[in-house]
Order: sequence, then C-alpha cells, then structure tokens
Amino acid sequence: MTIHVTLDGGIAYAFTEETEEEDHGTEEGHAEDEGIVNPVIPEVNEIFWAALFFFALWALMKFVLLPPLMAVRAERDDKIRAAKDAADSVDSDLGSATSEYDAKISAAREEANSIIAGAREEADARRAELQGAADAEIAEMRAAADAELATARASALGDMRGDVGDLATQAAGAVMGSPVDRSAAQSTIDRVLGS
Amino acid sequence: MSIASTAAQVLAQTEGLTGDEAKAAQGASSAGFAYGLAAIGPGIGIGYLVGQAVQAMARQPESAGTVQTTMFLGIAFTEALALIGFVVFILLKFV
Amino acid sequence: MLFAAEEGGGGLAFPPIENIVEWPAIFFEGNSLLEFNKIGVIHLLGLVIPAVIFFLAGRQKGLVPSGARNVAEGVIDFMEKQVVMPTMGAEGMRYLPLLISFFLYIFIGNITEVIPFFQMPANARMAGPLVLALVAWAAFIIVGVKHNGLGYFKTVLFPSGVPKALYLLVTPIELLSTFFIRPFSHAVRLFANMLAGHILLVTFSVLCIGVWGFKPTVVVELLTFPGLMLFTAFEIGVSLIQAFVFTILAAVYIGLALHPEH
Repeated sequence: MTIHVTLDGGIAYAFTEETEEEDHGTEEGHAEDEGIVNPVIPEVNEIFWAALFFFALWALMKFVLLPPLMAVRAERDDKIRAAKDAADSVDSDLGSATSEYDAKISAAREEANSIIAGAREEADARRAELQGAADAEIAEMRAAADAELATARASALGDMRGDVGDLATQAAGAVMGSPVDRSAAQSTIDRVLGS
Repeated sequence: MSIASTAAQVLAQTEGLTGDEAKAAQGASSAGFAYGLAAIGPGIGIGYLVGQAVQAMARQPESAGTVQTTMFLGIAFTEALALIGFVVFILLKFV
Repeated sequence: MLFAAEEGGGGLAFPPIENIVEWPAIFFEGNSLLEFNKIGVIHLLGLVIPAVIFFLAGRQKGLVPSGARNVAEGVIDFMEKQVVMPTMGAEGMRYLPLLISFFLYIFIGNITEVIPFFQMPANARMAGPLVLALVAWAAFIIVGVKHNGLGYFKTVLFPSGVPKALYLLVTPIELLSTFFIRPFSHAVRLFANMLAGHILLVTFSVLCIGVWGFKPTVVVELLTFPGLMLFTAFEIGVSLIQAFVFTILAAVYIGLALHPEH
C-alpha cells in the first residue's frame, strides 16, 4: 500500500515510495500531464462501481434481506397486539363484573332499607295500638273510678241529707216548741243542702 | 473581492511569478475570501436555528423528538450555502 | 502555492489535492469504465457489511432478537421512528428498503474516513453522492407520478392558492428548485461535508507529521495531535449525521411527492 499523504519537504519523501514519486511527479508536472485535476467532477469508473454496489444492496434489501426481518417484526407485533387485546377483554370483563357487583350491592342495600322502613312502620303501628289500648283502659278505669266516686258521693249526700234534715227538723221543732212537719220543711232543707 | 485580487497582483509582482502562477495565487487568496464570506450567513443561521430549537425543546420536552428531526433538516438546508462556498473554495484553490 | 513558497525553509507543504482524494487502480487499470480503486473497495464494503449483518439476522429463529438481529432491528426501528414516521407516516414503510440502503451505504462510505488503512470517505468523491442523489431524485419523481398521475407536475409547478399572475414567477422557481437544484444540493451536501472533513483531518495529520522534524515550531505543532483526535471524534459524528440527513431528506422528498398538495 502506498502512502498518499505527502509532504514536499525532505522528511515526507521518506514516507513515499520512489515509484509513487515517479508516477505523480511534482504538482506542476502532474497538472501538465493530465490537465487540470478537478476534485468536484465525478469520475466514470467510480460512478459505475458506486451505482453497481448500491443497486445490488437495494435489490438485496428489498427482496432478500428485509422480508424475513419484517415478517418477524409483524409476527411479534401481532402477538403483542393479541396479548393486548386479551388484556383489554379481561379488563372489560373486570369492569362488567365490578358494575354487576355494584348493582347487587345497591339492590341489597335498597332491600335492607325497605325492610328497616317496614319494621319501623310496623313498630310505630304497634306502639300506637298499644298506646291506644292503654289509653282506653286508663280512660275506662278513670270512668269507673269517677262513677264509683259519684255513686259514693250521691249516697253520702243522700245519707247526709236525711240526717241533716232530721237534725234540722228536730232543732227547729225544739226552737219552736212544736214538731215541724218534715215534708213541709223538706224544700227548705233541699235548698240549703243542694247548693 | 478587489482587495484579494490586488493582494494577489502585488504578490505576483514582488515575487516575479509567471502568468499561471499569478493566476493560481489569485485563485488561492480569493478562495479564502469565498469560503470566509460563505460561512458568515450559515453560521448565524445555524446558531439562531439551534437556539430556537433548544428553546422549543425546553418549553415542550415531550415534542423534543419532532423538534430534533426538524432541526436537523433545517441545519441541512442552511448548511448547504456554506458547503457551496466550500466547493467554490476547492474550485478556486485547486483547479 | 503559498505553502510551496516556504519550501526553501524546510516548512510544511500541503499535499496536492489529487494525492488525497484520488487513488491508484487495483484492478482494470487504465480502463475508464471498470477501473477499480479504493473508493470501489469502500463501496463494496458498503454492500457486503449490511448484507452480511442482515442476512445473519434474517436466519435467526424465534421472536427474541440477539446478536446480528439486534443490530439489524435497531437500524430498522431507528429508520422507522426517526425517518419514516415523521416524514411519511405508516404508508412510507413501503420505501424502507430504499431508505435503509441509503443510510447504511452512506454511513459505511463515510465512516471509513476515520478507520485505519482506509482513512478516506468514499463520499468525498462526487461519484457516490451523485449516484445516490440521482436515485433519490428518480425515486421521488416516480413516486409522485405513480400516486398522482401526471397531475403531480401540475401540482408542483402550479401550486394552488397562488394568484395566476404570480405563476410567471413561481413556476420557473419551482421547476428549478424541485427538479434541478434539489438533486444537486442533495449530492453536494454529502460530498462537500465529507471532503471538508477529509481535508481537515489531512491538514491536522500533516501538521502532526511535522512534529517529527523537531523544528523550533514543534511547540505549536504539539497541539495539533489533540486537535487531530478531537476532529476525528467530530468526524465520526459528522459521518452519522450526514448519513441520517441524506436519508431523511430523501424521505421528505418522497413524502412531498406522495402528497404534493401539502
């Protein structure tokens, strides 16, 4: 392999082979031999090889090299997508189960509420009934007591009226010196006691 | 470019160069001017572009990928001017 | 020329440009069409290396990648996420073979810039970029005509929403920029980047060779070796980015041809 980076100084020529020096000569000599060297203009042989190798690479990529890799990628993508779909369906199952559970819970809660409300109503009714019965009993007892009291009072009043009338008639007879007619004095006695 | 050509002429006169050599010297000195002038605009342009891209990425880090791609495209387009200047440099210097 | 003026003093001289970009023939010397030199070897590597990697990758069984298939699938994923999807969307996956070929062929043609025993980017010669840019040019025109019929040219040259009088101005500009300047700038972008990088590395290498001379200037020249390492690292990045930029521009052109109304 020849070293192409050359120096025009003495040291640099140590790095280059003699034949190389003869081939290229000095810069001016080279320029005179081959005309102006233009590094920007492409050369036909390099275009040929570059194009040949590039089209070969392109054709290989398109028809030989990429298809198996892309197939593997597609397969892997499919697998990932399938697993993801499965996960999604499980997720939606989970969602429906959760909502079902929620519905059940709320139904049960409603039922419990209605049971509690019914029990409370029943208890209220029962209490009202008991209270009514107790009230009635009390009223009855009170009425009986009142009646007893009234009869006792009436009998006491009757007794007292007789005794007091007799006593007053005798007292009035003793005062006047002659017995007073009881039936005549009765209205006066009644008037005094009846008030 | 007149300064360059004047300098080249002065150089040619003082050293007594032949016509071809004077042309080469003139080409070489104007090559430097060509590339130097061609580098100014793209230099400013790329600096501004990258600065704006950094600002955009700092404001929206989630869109950094898009900004980066667009930034490279913008640099590529801006840089083309400097590269054409470089090609002119090569043509003047070596041809 | 200016360097040569210092030759008497034993100073450095930049090698003539043809010495750093032109290579002697290996086969078919003298044949103007078939002459095969180092550039051809690099392009051949650009065919063989991706072919071998992808072939080994394609032979692997199973869904879990390893070894060569990691590389191949990494490239495919990168191209899909960074190039195809942002420019063309899912319908662009059809053009993946072309874009992957672009990317790997250009990347290998670039990276030889820093590989010992090559030290030459194949794309610093105009031939490779020119071929690739013409392929991209032909590809986007063919895609445009295939998907939009001959109306493609009408859509491109007479964009809707422009006042009729302005067509006098717009149509020639569109004609030039789309069909003539586009492949030219596409090729020159890659070529000039790689040539500039190559000349940069050659310059620093020449300055490093000067260190062996033990001249008084050696103090300054000692700094050139770190500079050479720095620029070598820089050029690795440039190789990758230029391959990416070329590919994504090709993708953008094809995407514009798919839907020219955008």
